[in-house]
Amino acid sequence: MDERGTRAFRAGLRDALPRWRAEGLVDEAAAARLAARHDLDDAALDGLGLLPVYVLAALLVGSGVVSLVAWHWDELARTAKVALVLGMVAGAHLGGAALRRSGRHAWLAEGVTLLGSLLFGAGIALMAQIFNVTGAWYGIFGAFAVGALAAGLLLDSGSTLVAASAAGLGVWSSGWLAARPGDHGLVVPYALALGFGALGWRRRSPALLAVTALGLALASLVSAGVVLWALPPLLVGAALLAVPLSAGPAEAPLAGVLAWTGRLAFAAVAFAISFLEAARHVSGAPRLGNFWPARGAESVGVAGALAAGAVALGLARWRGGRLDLAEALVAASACAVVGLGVGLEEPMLTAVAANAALAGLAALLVARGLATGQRGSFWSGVALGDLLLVARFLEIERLLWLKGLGFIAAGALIAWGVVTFERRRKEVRHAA
Amino acid sequence: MPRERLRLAAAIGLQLLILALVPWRQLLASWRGQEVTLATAPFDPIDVLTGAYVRLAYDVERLPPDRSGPEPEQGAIVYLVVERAEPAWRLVRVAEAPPPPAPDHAVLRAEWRYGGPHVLGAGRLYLPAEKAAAAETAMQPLRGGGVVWRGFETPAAPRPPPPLVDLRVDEAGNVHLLRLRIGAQVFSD
Repeated sequence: MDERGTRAFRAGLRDALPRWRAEGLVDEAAAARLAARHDLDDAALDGLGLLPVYVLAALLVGSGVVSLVAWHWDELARTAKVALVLGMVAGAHLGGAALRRSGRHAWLAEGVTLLGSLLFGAGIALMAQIFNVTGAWYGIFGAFAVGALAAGLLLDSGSTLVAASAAGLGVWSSGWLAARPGDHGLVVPYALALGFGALGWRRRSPALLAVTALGLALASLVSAGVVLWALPPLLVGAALLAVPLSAGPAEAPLAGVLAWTGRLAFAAVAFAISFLEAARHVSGAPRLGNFWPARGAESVGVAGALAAGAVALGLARWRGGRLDLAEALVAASACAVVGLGVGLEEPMLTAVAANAALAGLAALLVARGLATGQRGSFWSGVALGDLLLVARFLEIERLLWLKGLGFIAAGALIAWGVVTFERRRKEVRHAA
Repeated sequence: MPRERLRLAAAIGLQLLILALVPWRQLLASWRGQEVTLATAPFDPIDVLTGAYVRLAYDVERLPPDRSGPEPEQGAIVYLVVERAEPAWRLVRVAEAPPPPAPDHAVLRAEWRYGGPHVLGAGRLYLPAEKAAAAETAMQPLRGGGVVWRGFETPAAPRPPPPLVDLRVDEAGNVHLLRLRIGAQVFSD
């Protein structure tokens, strides 16, 4: 754990310290000690919210440069095209380095460094065009991921590492797995997830962790067979939801990011199979007796082992957080029931398990919001509950009065939420 | 050199190296290969990543229906042995490994997909949009199913010359596309 604290905590502390000092809450020596202990002079704390703006600006400038080049692209000689591609990549990286050295525009430097790697990605496509290179579509993303990973590590660029994870794990490994039906290539996305996940944890990067977790969920979905597609991402989601159980208070923010990503992946897939028609497609071919040879069974096995391991570790090291425990157990049990439904060819069992799990997650999110006063949790729970309610009532084709009641109930739930939550939030804040 | 500069140089150097390696098979074939001409049947889609191109299928990728022997696995690399003929080189056999060089013979590295071989690195000819459109227009009179005129010709109908592609091919089967010829028109980047 970084003893300096999370970035949000440090930024808040840096804003508050002068006020506390003025109000006499802390003396000058204490303020200096706090500033030193939490490294409040770190330039990385400056203008955090401006990073997306700088990245966007860099992208626009880059697109402008590419458009200017494209203006006479066809008329350029091959050597000139190659020189332009290489020059743009090197130029952007040199510009980023110059900005970094100046020490005054940390986030602009980050944006330009990312731009260098994005131009490198565009350069791969252009080199393929210049030399008529053909290959699998995902190859470009694999080559980009290698170069971006190296640049991210060597230049200490977090956004470049996020791009490498998205391209390598999310796109390349998914495309690679999809092109190899029945191949035993599962180790690749899990190894990539382990590498990028460790990197994200070490760098305390929520964005890198979230993108890596989503990439693994996507790759696990692609790696499964047509019938079993839902189970691996559900299991990966359950594994991520179990991470906060074994995380100490110091790791709580990062574990929370992983849990949110897992929640998103789990809820998206569970929502898809909460419809009976979709559940019918998930259930079917492999009965329990011939489950293992079915395509994608390996993917289910690996993701299942991951989820079982995460839950077991969480139970063994559980340090409080009853809502975390309840959520992890709801997700894990739903996976077991959906798996049973698939094995027994029971679409109704699968759909009911998905609906029950989503309702449970929604209720737990609402409870978490009420307990902590966090608007994000509460409204996510209400939104999920409402979405589920509306989806179920949309399926009703004849009993229109029931459909009407359902929509009224969804609206009433939101109205109730506003009143209840805001009142409860005030109580929590007063108690604090 | 300070450590930071070394890291910057390494990052830039690695990315430039990857860019340089993208066309390595094409460069090898271009430097050490011989020129081969194949009959083709092109059409022109657009790739969102790389722009306009003419997609090319070759007569040598069409195996005789009476071909014997086990079928390679999906994705397996095979080698098409072709021999000089006019107007285009023709298929002699499909090999699992590149055979030793022989006069008036060449070998094309291919991937086995969907029940047949596809020559690697020769499936697309990238062209500026205008040239791609012109190639498409030139192809219109030759259209007729998967292979030019096959299934449409009558004994009395004169068969137009097939579109031809010139490539450079090295001994390892790497290819570098040079140009597409449709009648008297020549298309290259």
